[in-house]
Amino acid sequence: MFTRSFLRAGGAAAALLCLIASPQALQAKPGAANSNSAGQLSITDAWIRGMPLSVPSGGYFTLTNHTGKKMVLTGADSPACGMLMLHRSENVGGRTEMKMVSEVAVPAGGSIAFAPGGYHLMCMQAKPAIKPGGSVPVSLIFKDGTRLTSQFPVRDAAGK
Amino acid sequence: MFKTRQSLIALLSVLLLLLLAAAAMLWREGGGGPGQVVSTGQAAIGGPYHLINQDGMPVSDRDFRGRYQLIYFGYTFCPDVCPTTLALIAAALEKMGPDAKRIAPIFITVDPGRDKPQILKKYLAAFDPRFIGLTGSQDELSKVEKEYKVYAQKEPLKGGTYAVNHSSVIYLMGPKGKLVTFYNEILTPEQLAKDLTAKTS
Repeated sequence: MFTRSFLRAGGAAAALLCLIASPQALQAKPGAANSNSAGQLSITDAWIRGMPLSVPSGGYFTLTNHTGKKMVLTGADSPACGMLMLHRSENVGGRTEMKMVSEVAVPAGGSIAFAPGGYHLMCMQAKPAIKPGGSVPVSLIFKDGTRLTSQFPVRDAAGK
Repeated sequence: MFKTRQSLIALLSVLLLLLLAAAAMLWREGGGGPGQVVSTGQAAIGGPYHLINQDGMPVSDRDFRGRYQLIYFGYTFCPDVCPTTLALIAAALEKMGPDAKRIAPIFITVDPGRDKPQILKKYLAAFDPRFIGLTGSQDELSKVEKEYKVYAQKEPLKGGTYAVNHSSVIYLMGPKGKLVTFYNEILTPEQLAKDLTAKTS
């Protein structure tokens, strides 16, 4: 069943799905709107994994841009993370590669989903504050200097 | 007379072509020639391993004869794909109910430098108590990665640390240790549970 051409097609399909971020946003709990707006920029469906030990945590959200102009996300920070970076998991011919992302553009009227298997925040040196059941503040930083802060609920390692 | 001769040559040419075609077909099926696929199509994935589990105890592939192994290669410093996949496996096993007993879910690290037994123990406990975490020397793990055709490559990260890019595939090995199937596409727990139930019954 899993012939080479099938695998290639599967890999391509997986890569394509990672690129089309919005279907993965559906993995977020319905009604779990945790929105925070700076003008007309909003973060919804935000969450971060509470991991054991201090291994890196993945953070996710959907960012919607109703500012009327293109917004460029260039970074993030949080008092709960020693280092917080933008990353993207990509399926490159069956291999998972994690690439650091320097900027993500969100067109006017558009949205981008950071979701499992695609774009994600990588929270390193996670502080004890990141415990399932709690929440931590995360600020998204934009090229024009805008900072958008939102509370990210902490789910367990499996994302529940 | 001319016509007959031409027809004769034409007939012989056709016969000759048919003979050549038949010979070519037989030659191909006989397994000769460049590019001929010799195997039955089943990739030669898998092999023996001698590693240690999250309790520091030695574990080998032979310990699982008679059971299915669901093997995933990953590492704990991985913020996204590995937790997502481990969560998928845990959820699929939950959905299978008692049928899941046939399956040993195994997590083999591609990062033995950081993933010591006690690290694996705490990490896997956050997903499902059934997970078996395996680590060992880099030499032994490189050997196992090769057997399972796993790609694993360190990539430096800002801040002086590193990530490990790796092939993200879930392998299902049968009761005799041979590959049954593998999954390298986006699946829901329902889809994985359904396929696992079918493949292990």
